[in-house]
Amino acid sequence: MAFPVSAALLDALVLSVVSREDTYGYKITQEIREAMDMSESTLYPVLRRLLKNNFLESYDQEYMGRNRRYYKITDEGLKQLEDYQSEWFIYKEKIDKLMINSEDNRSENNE
Amino acid sequence: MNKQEYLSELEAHLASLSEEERTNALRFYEEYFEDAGPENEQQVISELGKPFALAKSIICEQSAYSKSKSFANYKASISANYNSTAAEEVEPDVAPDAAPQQPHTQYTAYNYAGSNAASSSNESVDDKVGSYDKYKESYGSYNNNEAYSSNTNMNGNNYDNSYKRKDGYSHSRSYSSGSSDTVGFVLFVLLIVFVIAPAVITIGCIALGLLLGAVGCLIGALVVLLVAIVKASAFYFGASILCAGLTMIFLPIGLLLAVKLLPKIVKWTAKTVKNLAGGVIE
Repeated sequence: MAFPVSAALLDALVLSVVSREDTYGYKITQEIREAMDMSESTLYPVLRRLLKNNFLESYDQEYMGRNRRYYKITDEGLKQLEDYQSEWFIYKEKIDKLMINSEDNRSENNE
Repeated sequence: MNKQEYLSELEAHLASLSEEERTNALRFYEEYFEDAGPENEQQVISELGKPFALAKSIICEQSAYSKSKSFANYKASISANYNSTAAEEVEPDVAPDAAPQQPHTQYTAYNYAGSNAASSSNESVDDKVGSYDKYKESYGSYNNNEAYSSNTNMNGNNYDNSYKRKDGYSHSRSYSSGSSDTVGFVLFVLLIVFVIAPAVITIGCIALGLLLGAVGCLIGALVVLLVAIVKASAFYFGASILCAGLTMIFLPIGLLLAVKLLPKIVKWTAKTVKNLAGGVIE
């Protein structure tokens, strides 16, 4: 992808994936990879950071005779996610305005 | 290389971590392999990169944790400030001609709120959502205003600032592995072995020697002074003054080396190591 992926963006994406339902490492990676080209080695540090900041919790659940570690978003994590979402909204609007809609907006405004 | 070999090599490279951290990391990747399925084992191995590089990305993240924590606080303070600014400035009945200026002021507050304490971050979520919605409204009216193009510049500039800050943040903690890894690591080892270690050891030893010498001279001066007083001898008194003089010479130089120069070298080392590590990770 031409645009850099920042740690904050990864945090926000992981938080939003986990906020939908409790899920596990491999699945989170696969979901994020639908949106961007993320290396498989990237997720663990992100998860660890989010756990350390108490934005996520983990618990073990049995799956096919072994334990699988699931991640669950905390209240703090939800709050953080909302912050990210509002920041993203502003960011996206501004980028869209500059990059995509700038001509349209101006001509509409001048009419 | 198969999964087991990969994981045991990874474990060996994670030796510097605490038992708990190491177990957690290994467990994560072991599970990852299992969830990917045996048929994808080789693909996962090639994706994860060399065990050494992966271990380094894990270890670097551990040490970056304190940074990320303060960043989280910083972010919390930014959003709290941004939201409270929005709540204060955006009246429900916004006059259309007043609208274009408001986003600009808000962004200014938003961009420079970083220095404020994170104490305001415990605002209730509902408040934030409310003010955020209000903001959306004002943003919308701003959008349709004719003065838009004259404001684009200002907003563009402000945006730039916040973007740069975020970019810097990601710079210190984003991961990719490449051929620069090995070169960076070799440079780093060479720096430690040939520059930093000799410098620190030499200066440390000189400082220690001077300080011990100063202490010795001081004790000598006192003993000889005692002898001079007991024997009432001018010779011993002179010797005592000589010893005291030596103390006065050794002590400040030793202290200067130990207190001023050594910490500077250690600080510089830490900075260089951090930069090098950052460069390697990048």
